[in-house]
Amino acid sequence: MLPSLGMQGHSSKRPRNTSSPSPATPDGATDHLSSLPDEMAEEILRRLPLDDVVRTSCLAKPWRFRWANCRGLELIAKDPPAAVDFVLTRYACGVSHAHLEESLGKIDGWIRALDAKGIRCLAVCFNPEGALRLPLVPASLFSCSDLTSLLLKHCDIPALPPAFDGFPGLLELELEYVNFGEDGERTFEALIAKSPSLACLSILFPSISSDDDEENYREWKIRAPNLKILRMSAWEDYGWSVDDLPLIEEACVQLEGPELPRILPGLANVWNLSVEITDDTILRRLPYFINFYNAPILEDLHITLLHENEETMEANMKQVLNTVGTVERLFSRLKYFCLDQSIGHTNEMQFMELLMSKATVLQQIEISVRDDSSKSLEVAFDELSQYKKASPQAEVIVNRFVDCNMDQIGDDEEP
Amino acid sequence: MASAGSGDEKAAAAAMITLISSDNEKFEVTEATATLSQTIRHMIEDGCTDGGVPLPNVTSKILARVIEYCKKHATAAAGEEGSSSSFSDAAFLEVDRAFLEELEEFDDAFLEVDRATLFDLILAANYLDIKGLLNLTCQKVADSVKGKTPEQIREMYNIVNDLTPEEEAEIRRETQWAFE
Repeated sequence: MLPSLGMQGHSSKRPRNTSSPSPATPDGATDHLSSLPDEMAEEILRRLPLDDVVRTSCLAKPWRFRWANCRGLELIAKDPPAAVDFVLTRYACGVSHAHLEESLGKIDGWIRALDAKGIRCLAVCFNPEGALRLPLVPASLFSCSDLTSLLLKHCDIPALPPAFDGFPGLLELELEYVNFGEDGERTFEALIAKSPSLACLSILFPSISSDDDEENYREWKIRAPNLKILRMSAWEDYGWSVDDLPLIEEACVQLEGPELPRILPGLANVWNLSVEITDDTILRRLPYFINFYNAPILEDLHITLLHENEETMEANMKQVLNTVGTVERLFSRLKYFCLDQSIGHTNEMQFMELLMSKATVLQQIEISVRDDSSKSLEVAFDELSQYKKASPQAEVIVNRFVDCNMDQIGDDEEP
Repeated sequence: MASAGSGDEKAAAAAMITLISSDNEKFEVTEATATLSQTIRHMIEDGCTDGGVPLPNVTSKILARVIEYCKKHATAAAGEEGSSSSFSDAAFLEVDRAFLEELEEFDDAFLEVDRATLFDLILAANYLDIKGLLNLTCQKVADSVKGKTPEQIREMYNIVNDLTPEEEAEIRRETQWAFE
């Protein structure tokens, strides 16, 4: 609201472009670009890559320092190192957004310069190729106390410097393929706990250098009292659990370790949950979820099945069902349910039958069926349609599973 | 929320606003169209639109184009609000996609103007505070400059190079990386 009011007052005082004297070439053609008020020239400069922006400095005298005073320029990953060096020394304004890629040991100096320029949103991606060890994040990063958003990729996070006061304003933290070194559990835990404003935490395939070869990780907690969105994907159980997250709204959890029972209870307040279940049947996991399904808020549940252990799939889980079925208010707020990669096995169908018989306000149940399913789309649809519905208006949708999301997870996933 | 929004939409559709260009031409538009301009939205909120809204910075020729843009995009905004409550509805997504494509085609055709008009549209979009239009027009200029040499840009936009050869050589030396 305020910026637009300011802009309005500002602009209306300006003389009309058509009546203002515009620089003209000797043959009388108007130089529209140079005669634009700064505010709008900056709108244009901000839409250009840095090399284009800096090249405008040799158009003419009025352009020489125009770029350096253009607020809101960003450093992005594909800018060459020389560009980053140049901009960090010559640019007169603060830099709030920067996406850096590791280059010849320059990262430390860049981060120091960005800290001085009040950096708020920072992404630092290292290049792991050919290196025996992941590159170490420079300690200067922990001085950037104005950060609101931080992404670290392919790097090793050292023990936090003793003087580290935390990131008091950090709202968003994304860690992709990062390793926590010696005593990594403690560092990991402290990094999150010392970012008390954190609203969005995304942890993609981290690792912790364990002290022993057995990879026995010490137990530790994700403490984030203001967290709203949590994304966690990992290959193994790093000893983590989730403290109660009172403000949590959405969670996307893809864990292969046995930690689900330690993670899920902390998420009791989510209304939107996406979970990937591996190496077990959907119903065998069900008891872990009971708190969850019984949660007052859950409206949108998305389960993706990963089929690794074929033998357990056909298991008849009537007994589990009978126990779980007596839980009161099961799925009582659920509006949307989606099961991805179904292969139509008994336990999956039984799970959906249970869900449909309990969810009184369900609006939509959608399954995507894999090509190697034991059931055709039509048969799966007919079966689902015959189940008793606690919510008569619930719509049943059956699709073929199209394997297009695998790209997002990356090639590493495939053997 | 959704029902209150659509109620407002209906009330807005009924109310008409008169915009008056710098050359005193009057344009009748719906409030939904006019309020794509934050400047006009604030005027309406302050209740100072009776007797028309004078826009001394915008000629009738440019105002007509701006209104054309706002009409199209006001319909788009109304559509978006209507469908937001029913996400995951495939039919709606299909309609949205078709509409977005149509909107893109409209924008492309809208930008087929001479240079003077394009810059007048930027000034008008800034003055009227219409984010979408400012974005569209500034992006068009940015795209025309992208990847060009200073010589090409000077020629394209009639920029007189008043740098001394020494100054220009110095700048080029310092920014050599930008010319590689």
